[in-house]
Amino acid sequence: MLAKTLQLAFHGLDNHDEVWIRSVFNIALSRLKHQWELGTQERAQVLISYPGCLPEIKDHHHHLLVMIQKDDDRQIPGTLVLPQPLRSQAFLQLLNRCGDEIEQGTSGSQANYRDQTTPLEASANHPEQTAPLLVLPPYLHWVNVVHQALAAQQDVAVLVGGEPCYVINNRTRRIAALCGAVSPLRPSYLVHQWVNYSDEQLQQWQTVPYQLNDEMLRLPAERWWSLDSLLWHFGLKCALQKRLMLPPKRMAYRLWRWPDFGELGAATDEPAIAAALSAAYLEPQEVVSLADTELTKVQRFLQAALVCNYLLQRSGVASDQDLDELALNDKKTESKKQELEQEKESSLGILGVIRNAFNLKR
Amino acid sequence: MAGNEHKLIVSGCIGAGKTTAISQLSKIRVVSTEAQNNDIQNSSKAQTTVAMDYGELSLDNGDRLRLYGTPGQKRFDYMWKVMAPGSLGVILLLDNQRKQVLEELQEYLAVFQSFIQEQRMVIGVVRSNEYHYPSVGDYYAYLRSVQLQAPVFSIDARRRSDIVLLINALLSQIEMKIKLQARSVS
Ligand SMILES: Nc1nc2c(ncn2[C@@H]2O[C@H](COP(=O)(O)OP(=O)(O)O)[C@@H](O)[C@H]2O)c(=O)[nH]1
Ligand SMILES: [Mg+2]
Repeated sequence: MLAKTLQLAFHGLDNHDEVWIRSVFNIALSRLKHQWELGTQERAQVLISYPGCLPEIKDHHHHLLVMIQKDDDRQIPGTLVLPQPLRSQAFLQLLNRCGDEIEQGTSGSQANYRDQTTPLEASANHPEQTAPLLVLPPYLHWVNVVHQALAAQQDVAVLVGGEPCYVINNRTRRIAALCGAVSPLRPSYLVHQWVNYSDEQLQQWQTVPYQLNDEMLRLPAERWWSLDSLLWHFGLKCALQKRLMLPPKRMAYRLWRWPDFGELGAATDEPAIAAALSAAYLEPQEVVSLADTELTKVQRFLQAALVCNYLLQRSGVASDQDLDELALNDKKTESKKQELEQEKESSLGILGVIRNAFNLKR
Repeated sequence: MAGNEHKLIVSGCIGAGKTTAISQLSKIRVVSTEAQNNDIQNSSKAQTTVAMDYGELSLDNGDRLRLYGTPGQKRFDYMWKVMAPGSLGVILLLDNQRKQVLEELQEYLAVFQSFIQEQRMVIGVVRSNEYHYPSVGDYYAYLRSVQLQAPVFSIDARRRSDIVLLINALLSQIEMKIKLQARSVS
């Protein structure tokens, strides 16, 4: 049987979810079991939406309906569930499954799905194995794709005006510029250039798989800059320009890795912010109090970390659970609490004295 | 008044910069005990001190901070067992010039497991500007694959500010853990 290209479409998705799905879809196309493309709502076999949008969807019997919803939300009969927070593995499994169902001809009637009540296995069961996924606005779509490609061990080029302008070596996570300058550009100049592009211009940039040729590999070491460092500074600069990246919703964040402060240099509060964010999922305001810093600094840090793909995120206020994990097991009496409080003060005091010895007083 | 004592351990393979790092911090002249380097083929150093370094600083409150340098390999772990109890934390130095550096990391993680689990370890990678692979990202990918977490920085052990950065990250982690623990019981 000749394989037919299946179509996927969205209805009513918010910007973040749509960007997320588009980027994961584009980069994972070749890894899917079936041939897929993005299509129109009228023609697509699979339609992704939210339960709240269901009433607006016309002719929904023509589609396999996939609902983005929280794990503990009630499943709507006759739909498949893509659990929130979105994870690439769950999404790809779901597409494979949809493909199988369609291929077996079981999707002609929605009835086949009415009995089907178990949601797809969420990859939340093994979240640490998969690369974290980020949600970037459309003008940073090309960055999204860079991260996905690097996770797949793929060298890439970034096309500007259709021409390869930057190439990225996935093995070293370094980037070289092929266009724009006769002599090697300084990385800070490059960041400056990038932030001067409008959102519309950046949105045209494309990241594609690319075979690095010998000539490129022979570029002198100083032409290859650290991608992480460029993206970090780019993220900071974008934040300074108030180009918004963090979703407006209340979110809790966690760092799965620190920025390389050895390369970047660390501003005074940054190690404390990083330490807070790598200890638990925290909302920005919680980071402010734990790291004893200002909200704008935390936001800037988060935006840079987001661009670099160092962040995990979770919707809502979910950090109590993490804090519980850190709690001491036995039940605390009042006097025990006081004792702990004193212990805490004295431990922090000693660490402060050690800070002093290295002029690290905050 | 004889104050309290605090210990900090600097570990890593031969030539990774342990003696250099401790010399940046110590207010006394660093004491190094020597032993024969029988790992010449893997090291950029012809002769070396492999046994132990010792340095110290006195703190404002009269306490003393002792700095110990020790090789991290399994065959030295008798020394490690003497020094580890009560230590604030471990600064692990890795040398990107060494071909087997990821395998070495694996060995260190086994030796320093309790420290890394308590967020009392930081990793400094030296010579990564000359040897691009493994990248800092590769180290994190590795740590993630074994479900461990520690800050990793590319550093030059000859720069004092880089060593101070490692200490800053280590202290920040310990402080944060104390704060979060206190918060969760209150
Ligand atoms: N390129 C480079 N050389 C270093 C660095 N750290 C130390 N060295 C040099 O490497 C050699 C070994 O350093 P040493 O501190 O004796 O290493 P140890 O065996 O771990 O004590 C010395 O010549 C140092 O000057 C570094 O970060 N980069
Ligand atoms: Mg030495």
